[in-house]
Amino acid sequence: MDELLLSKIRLGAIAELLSSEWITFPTLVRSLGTTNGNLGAHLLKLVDAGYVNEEKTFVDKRPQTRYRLTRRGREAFKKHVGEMQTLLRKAI
Amino acid sequence: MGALEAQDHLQMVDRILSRAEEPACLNGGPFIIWGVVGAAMDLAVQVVFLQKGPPSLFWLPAILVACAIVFMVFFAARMAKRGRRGVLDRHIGNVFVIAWIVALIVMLLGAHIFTEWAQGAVWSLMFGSAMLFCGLLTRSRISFTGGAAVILSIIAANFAYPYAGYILAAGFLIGMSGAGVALTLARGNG
Repeated sequence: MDELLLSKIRLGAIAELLSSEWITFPTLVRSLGTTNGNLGAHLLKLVDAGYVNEEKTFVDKRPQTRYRLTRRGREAFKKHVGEMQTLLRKAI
Repeated sequence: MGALEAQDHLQMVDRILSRAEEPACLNGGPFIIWGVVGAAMDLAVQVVFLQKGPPSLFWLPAILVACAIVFMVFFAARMAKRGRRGVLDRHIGNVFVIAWIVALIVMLLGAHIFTEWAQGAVWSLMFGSAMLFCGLLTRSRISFTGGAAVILSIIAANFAYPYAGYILAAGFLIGMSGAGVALTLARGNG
């Protein structure tokens, strides 16, 4: 299994990004019900692993941080979910 | 990772993905304005060419197109302020941009091939198809029915040729602008 995706927050962030072209940081915080600091640390790991791209833009002269899922992140998510399903089937 | 933890994680993923599959909320504004633009173009052609009205009437749809483009610039800026851009939003945007570009190319560069009402029919066909596609994609009956009405107006215009402009215009007003109004009301009630 993918060690990076063993964290529920990181897995949830990837699942949220899967159906979106991009999501802003505050929206991800709200969707996942976590704190800024916690999510920031988890997203940093995903960015470092190349699973997620971080973009800094300005909207109405205010800085906005958006996140996009990369092809690598999508593949890792699919593989990880497949492995969890296999584990569950074996356990049943 | 144990089986229980895997089950918990899979349930969370399922919840998030199910939420994402809910129909995207189509915005009525662009439908209303582009329906009015399409109707104004068809009416102008009908009045100027078939009823010998003054050619200056073509300024009306031209002004409306300019207004619609300005509206879309502000609309796009407002969309960028949202916290999320879904994959469905991107598909809907792309399909309407393609419909608009094809219709514009036909109007500006295909005048010898698409003569008389063919250009008006291409506008109806492109925007009607785009609405049908969005209806299927987002499971929106309003968009699907509106798109069908726009396309049906082409068939009706074919059998009532002297009034083709009026019928195509009615198709745009009822099918596209009407759908826009219905979508706006549905959002307000939701």
